[in-house]
Amino acid sequence: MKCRNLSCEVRDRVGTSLTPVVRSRTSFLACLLAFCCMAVPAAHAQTPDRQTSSSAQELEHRARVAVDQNLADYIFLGTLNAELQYAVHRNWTLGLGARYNNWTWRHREDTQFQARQQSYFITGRWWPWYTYSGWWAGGKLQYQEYNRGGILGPETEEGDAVGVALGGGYAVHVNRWLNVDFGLFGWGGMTRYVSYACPYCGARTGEGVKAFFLPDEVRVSLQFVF
Amino acid sequence: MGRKWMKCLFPLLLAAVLLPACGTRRKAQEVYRKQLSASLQLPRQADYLPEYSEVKATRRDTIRVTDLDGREMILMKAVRDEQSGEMVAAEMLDAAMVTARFRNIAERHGKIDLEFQVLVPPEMQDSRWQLRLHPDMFVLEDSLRLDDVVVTGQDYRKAQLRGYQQYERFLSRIVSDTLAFVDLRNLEIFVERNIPQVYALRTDSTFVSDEQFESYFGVTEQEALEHYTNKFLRWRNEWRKQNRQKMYEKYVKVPIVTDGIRLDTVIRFDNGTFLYNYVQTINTRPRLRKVDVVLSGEIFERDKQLYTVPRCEPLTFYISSVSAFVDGTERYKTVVISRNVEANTACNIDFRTGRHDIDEHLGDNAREIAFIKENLRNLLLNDSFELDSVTIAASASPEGSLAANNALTLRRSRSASEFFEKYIRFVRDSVQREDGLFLTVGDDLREGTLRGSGRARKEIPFLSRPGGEDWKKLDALVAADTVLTDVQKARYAEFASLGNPDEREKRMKGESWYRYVVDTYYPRLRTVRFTFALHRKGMVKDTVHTTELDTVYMKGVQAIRDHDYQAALAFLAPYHDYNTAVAYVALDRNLSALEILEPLPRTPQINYMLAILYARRGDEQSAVQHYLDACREDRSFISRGNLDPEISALIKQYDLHKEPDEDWGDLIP
Repeated sequence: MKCRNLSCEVRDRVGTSLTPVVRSRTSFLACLLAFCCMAVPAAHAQTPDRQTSSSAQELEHRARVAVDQNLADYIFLGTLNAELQYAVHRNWTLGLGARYNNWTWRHREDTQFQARQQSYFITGRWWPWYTYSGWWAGGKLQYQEYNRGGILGPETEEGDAVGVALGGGYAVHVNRWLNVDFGLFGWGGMTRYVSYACPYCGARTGEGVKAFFLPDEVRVSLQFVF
Repeated sequence: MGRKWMKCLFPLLLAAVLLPACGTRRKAQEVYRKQLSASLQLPRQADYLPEYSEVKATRRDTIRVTDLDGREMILMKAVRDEQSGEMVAAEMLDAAMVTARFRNIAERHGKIDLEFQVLVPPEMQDSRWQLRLHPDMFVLEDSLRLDDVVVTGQDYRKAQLRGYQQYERFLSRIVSDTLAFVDLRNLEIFVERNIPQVYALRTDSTFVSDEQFESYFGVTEQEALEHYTNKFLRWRNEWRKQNRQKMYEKYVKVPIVTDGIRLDTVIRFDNGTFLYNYVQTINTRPRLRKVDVVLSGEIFERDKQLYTVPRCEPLTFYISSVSAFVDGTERYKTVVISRNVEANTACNIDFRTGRHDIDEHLGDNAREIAFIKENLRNLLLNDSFELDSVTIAASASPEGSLAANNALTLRRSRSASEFFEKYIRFVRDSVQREDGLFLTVGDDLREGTLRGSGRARKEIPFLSRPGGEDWKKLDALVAADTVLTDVQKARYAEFASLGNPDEREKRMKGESWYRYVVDTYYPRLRTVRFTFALHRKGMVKDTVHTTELDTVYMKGVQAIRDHDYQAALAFLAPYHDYNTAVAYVALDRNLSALEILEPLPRTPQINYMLAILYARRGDEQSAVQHYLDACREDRSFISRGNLDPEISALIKQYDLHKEPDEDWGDLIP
């Protein structure tokens, strides 16, 4: 996901370019994951009676799986995301997830900005009371390929980052199937990067490997529990 | 302009807050300086002696005036001297108020009504004060605090009620339903999500134990409930519960007390004297002649005591009681003692149908036989009486022919006689063994005789009688029955008129109620009656006349002394004598008392009580006559007359004691 590798650019009328930063197959898989994450809980939510009438064994396995869709990520420049969690203990869930943003805004204009990324992570959360209920604290091991710039200034950086994220939050019950999960993550680690003077001028200002510590994620997430 | 207003406003507000407090304090200081006190006085009584003289307005007889030239002149009332004929200046002195501090009151029905008035001067009253007045009564060597009189100012009461309102508000915040602290919405979602089996039963009343269903990870509904309970709110609620008393004391600094309070009145102070008529009824007791009542108290502002009201002069009540007239002379009664005595007892010994032998194990026989044995043993070993003979008569129910029943009852009587004769022999032997033998040795120690105990040695003859069919008892039982109708009873009575018992029984068998009578009453007719013939040991004559103290009468006399007149009357009413009349007088039963006293020979006491009785009936002439007769014979009744309100009124009305040496006989027309 480098500037120079941009090959398929589509310019829309308002100057927004949907530019893939990953190979098309990877993009397709990420989009599929996001779609599935949204579709499965919706299907569960529409058939509660069938679940209620299931056998006792089936009932016992309910409320162990959750799929999250972080609305804050969508608002942040349309970052697609999905997270799947599974309860392994009364107080512990393990999960994996991905975020995907391939959009360049105001492409080739002076005010171009982007926060393009593809992130993959495995996560673990500790719930003091019970999984998917109330407070939680969590951590992630995350890989991220990114290209972001033009947001707070013209400086642009792209690279590959690996690190650990730590955060916490609170899950609010909405109904049997749905929580709203609030949370905040910060992460730190190592990145191999290239920095540019502006989002699209191509003038390099530096490159190398460095440590970093950054905000990772603000969560206002719809959490489908089933 | 605004600033000027503000400058004025602050001191005004300050003054508004502080001035009332200053006023109250000054008033309290004034009360303290003058050592003001509430007082007691006797209410006016129209019937008896006027205790309270009229208070007349002060009249001024001397006035100073100034004439047109500025000269001061003194004008005085002048009266003409009868001897010299001159006009002499006369000044009327102001009337002095004389307040009686005692009253004579009479005991009625063993009770005394003490009536007095509590007066609080206006200087001791304030809207922010509460006066708590304590009347104390001194009786003999005891003192008793009577119910308080509380005079509460309006503002004081408002403050009290405000405190109660605050406390009520505090109490209203205490939640009794513990579910109020549970986040039910989240709990329900949690249970639905994690313990769906329990959630499925939410509309089912079936009892489900806590351990029966739990979540996949072992969390029970109870744990969930505990988790979704707001601990802080619950703690705060518990704190409120535990601190109710503390908060009560905080808010309600001066509670409104109702116990031990005769009067708690809220008054609007209009600078008048507060007056309360207090009536206290007390029970009389022996030796009670005088009761003193005093008044003390405190003035409170909020919970602070401002002033201790000094104890006022006592009011004294002198109590007159007719119990002093009781005649305590011991009374004896003549008793006729017979040598021969008869004692009867009956028991229900069951016999098998047509049989006459006694079966101790049949029905209640064991208990009944034990009862008779105990009677026999007691009579046999009695120190006062000697058992001469025992007559046993068994009776039967009417079933069967009369002849057969007579024969059967005779056999049963004989059987019972034999049975208890054996028991008598057993008792005799056991007594002999128990008492042992006595050896009597002569003076020379050569000859000695052995003899047994004298107890229960005598042979007791048992006489058997046929009791026959016990129709009399059956008649009584049927008459007292509550199940049979009047028609059925009349039918039974119709058969009772038949002379032949067998015919009667036969006719009864055709009636619907016959089975009921047989089942209910016939078993009770199969009795064995024991008649014990006794005589007093050592008594030769058939009868002896002796006297002994009449304890019932003396109990009545003692009851009068104890002022328990109802009890006295219960004992003495049958005697209809002088002491009975005393009890009647005390109970205000005047006609009954008169009926007894009038025929009796006159004594000072009888004359005095007659005077009271006639006074109560309004016959003043007879009352005065008897009172003077009593005083003539016994001068102590002159002073006694002042104690009884009835006589006291006569004395006052007819001026009977104006000159003690006067011959009262002249007063009688």
